[in-house]
Amino acid sequence: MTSDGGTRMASPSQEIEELRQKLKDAEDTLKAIRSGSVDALVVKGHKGEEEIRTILDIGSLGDSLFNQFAQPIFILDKSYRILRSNKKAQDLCGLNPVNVLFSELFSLLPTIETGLPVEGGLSSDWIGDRRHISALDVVHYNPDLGTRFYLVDASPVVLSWEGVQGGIVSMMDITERKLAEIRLSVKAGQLRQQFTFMKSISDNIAEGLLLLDEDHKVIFQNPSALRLLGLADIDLPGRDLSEVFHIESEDGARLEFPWLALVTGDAPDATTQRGWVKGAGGVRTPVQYSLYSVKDGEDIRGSILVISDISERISSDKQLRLSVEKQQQSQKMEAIGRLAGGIAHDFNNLLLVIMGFTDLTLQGIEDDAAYENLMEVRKAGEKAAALTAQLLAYSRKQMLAPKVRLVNDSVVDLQKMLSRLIGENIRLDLDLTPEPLSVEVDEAKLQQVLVNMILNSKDAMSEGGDLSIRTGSLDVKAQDTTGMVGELIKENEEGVPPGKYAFIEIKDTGHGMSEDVLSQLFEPFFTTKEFGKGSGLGLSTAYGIIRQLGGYIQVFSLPGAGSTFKVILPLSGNAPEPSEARVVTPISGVAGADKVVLLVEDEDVVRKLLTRVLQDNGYRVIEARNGKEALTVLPPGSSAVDLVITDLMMPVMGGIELAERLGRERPELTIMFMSGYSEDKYNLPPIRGEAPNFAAKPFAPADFLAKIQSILESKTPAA
Amino acid sequence: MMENANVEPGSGAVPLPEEPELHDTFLLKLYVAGQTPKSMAAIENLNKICKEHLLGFYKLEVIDLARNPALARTDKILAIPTLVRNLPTPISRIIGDLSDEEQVLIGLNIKKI
Repeated sequence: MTSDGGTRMASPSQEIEELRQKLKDAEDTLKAIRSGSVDALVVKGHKGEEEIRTILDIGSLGDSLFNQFAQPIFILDKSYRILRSNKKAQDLCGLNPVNVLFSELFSLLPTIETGLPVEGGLSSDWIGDRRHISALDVVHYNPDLGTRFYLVDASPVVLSWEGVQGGIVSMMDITERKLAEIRLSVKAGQLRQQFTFMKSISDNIAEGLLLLDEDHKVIFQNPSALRLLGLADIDLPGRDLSEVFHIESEDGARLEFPWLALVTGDAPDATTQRGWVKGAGGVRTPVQYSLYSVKDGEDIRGSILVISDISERISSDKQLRLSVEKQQQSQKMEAIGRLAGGIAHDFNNLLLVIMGFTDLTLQGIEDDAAYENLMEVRKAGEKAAALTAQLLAYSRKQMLAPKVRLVNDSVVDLQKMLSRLIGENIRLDLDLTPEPLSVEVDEAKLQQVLVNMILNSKDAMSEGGDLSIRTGSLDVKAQDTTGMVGELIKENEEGVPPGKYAFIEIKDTGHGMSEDVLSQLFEPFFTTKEFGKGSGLGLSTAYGIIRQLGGYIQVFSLPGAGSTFKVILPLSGNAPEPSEARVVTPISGVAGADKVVLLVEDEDVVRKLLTRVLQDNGYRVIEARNGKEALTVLPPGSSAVDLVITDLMMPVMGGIELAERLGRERPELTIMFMSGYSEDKYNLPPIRGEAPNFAAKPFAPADFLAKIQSILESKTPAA
Repeated sequence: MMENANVEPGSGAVPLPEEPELHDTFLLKLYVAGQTPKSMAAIENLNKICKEHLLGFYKLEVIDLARNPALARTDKILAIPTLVRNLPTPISRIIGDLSDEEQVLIGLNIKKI
């Protein structure tokens, strides 16, 4: 029987009954499927034949599979009501959500969707729109699980047993990955911060830094490195160090770099050397460079090259060297001075004898044929004395007779003979200060100094030129200890100390002097003149005289640009004295009548000469070879001896010790000192509160006698 | 064996189910599909109910549609397992694994003893 046949044959009530039955069967079938109490269906195949289809039993088998998923899964109906969820999903929610709206579930739990805008997210109608949501980042907080991160996939699906649309939401827990990412990003941030900090340091330090990899390729450089090596930023990265870092010696020769040691790893941790590098425009810079290995355990990972500009250090080294040289120069001058002074002293004693005996012999033989010969001996002796005087002047050990004068007077006095000195092809220009500047000088010696300088200028202008002489005042401030400005000034050994000075400046337009010449200018016997034309004592004498007067000489000169000599003298607070003629006391035949002199002198010839001079002039002389002998031979009695004349430097007992002994034992005695060193005058102890009597060797017999006479005369009224 | 259901001609109104006589023999057909879990459960449940309530008064046929699906056409079977009572009339059917005994007794119109 077919349904068609049945329908035709059946009455209407039968049809209704059949339909009712069919409907009930359909309802029962559906109910059974829903309740899960059937597990197979009879369906029509495509040819109309019956086929049996087994229904997968989700209720038993499905649930166990479902729950084995490691990620939370929710199955929703089309109204987003949760139909089913697996174990992980229930853990996530903390309950078994059935018939709850998915959005309600999540609105109860703080959730942040970070992957997509809200309109495209889980709260949109993605099932109705049949839209797949993939890889949505969701942050979800659960009191038990803490903050978790999920990657959410949501897909609309058709559920066959419902015959309706729904959706499936799966959530992949990516918390660990996310936390690792966050840690990494924090770490990266810290690294970036550290790098920024390190970079700002490396950008600002003066040292050049090159960071190299293990193949010596540049991987980092700072601006100082670029500057020192004359490279552009883009030049460096990836380039081999040997291409960018060329180290040279001071004379430009290529220097080896310790590559090999680096490669083998035998290099010490730091290798420091010096050399020169060429920067932009070929500017060479002296550098010190250090190479440090960057190690990871024993493995060399690269290296750091630190390049330091040491120009300033070298320049200060140079200044130090100059200062040391200057000091050495000063010490040399001092040593030469002492040597010259010592020689001159011995010479003076000899000259004293030569000239003394000559003078004695000359007396009373005017008619003799030997007279003229002896006069020549005497003249030669005088010349020799002048030479030793110059040497002594250089060693600042000559006798000076300083008087207060106006500084202009020295120049005016000089003017008279200037024209004779300089000749016709040199133009002279005098520029004298209107200020009345008083200085304490030995007139004759100062003139000697100035004449010497003017003659030097004249020699420097053999083809003519201008010579200007200028006077003026100079106020040296405390901070200005070099006195004059100008880097090419050659000073005498010390700088000019602060104070008020007068100066005399002699300036020529001659050929000038080289630095070499300047450095030896004041040394005795240094001359640029032809052999025999100059003694080499002129400027050294001038130097000694001016220094002895408490003054300074400064020289400014450049080859081809003339020379300027500046004599600087301390201003005197006293009013100038009138110049006086020199008083010469002739040898007197009666001056020493019946006076007794104790003569203490270790040099036999000198003692012999002086004894002769004294005896010839009526003195009675008691001789002694040193202080001790003098005490022995000294006769007792207050008036036994009128004058003690003693040399200073003697073996056994010197003049000062003798004077002290006599001062205690025979205070009534008058003492006169003599010495080849005129400065000894200033080292003598005062006698009875007065300046001691002193005679500087060499002296002419007449001067010697005059001195004795004046002492005895001054003693008489007092006695 | 299988018998065609004997359908009583209706009076036009839906007839009220009649209480079967206890002495009447029940002719039951249980449609299964091989040994699916629900089919096995239905056979077991039905045997138990019949032994309890219809001992001596029933005849049971188990028809395996997995072997011959075309047999489903006879009783218009849609889901498996399904129990059909051919006798006593009217024909009635119970769809499912027969796990609810109460529902099965009501469906077969059997009074509890």
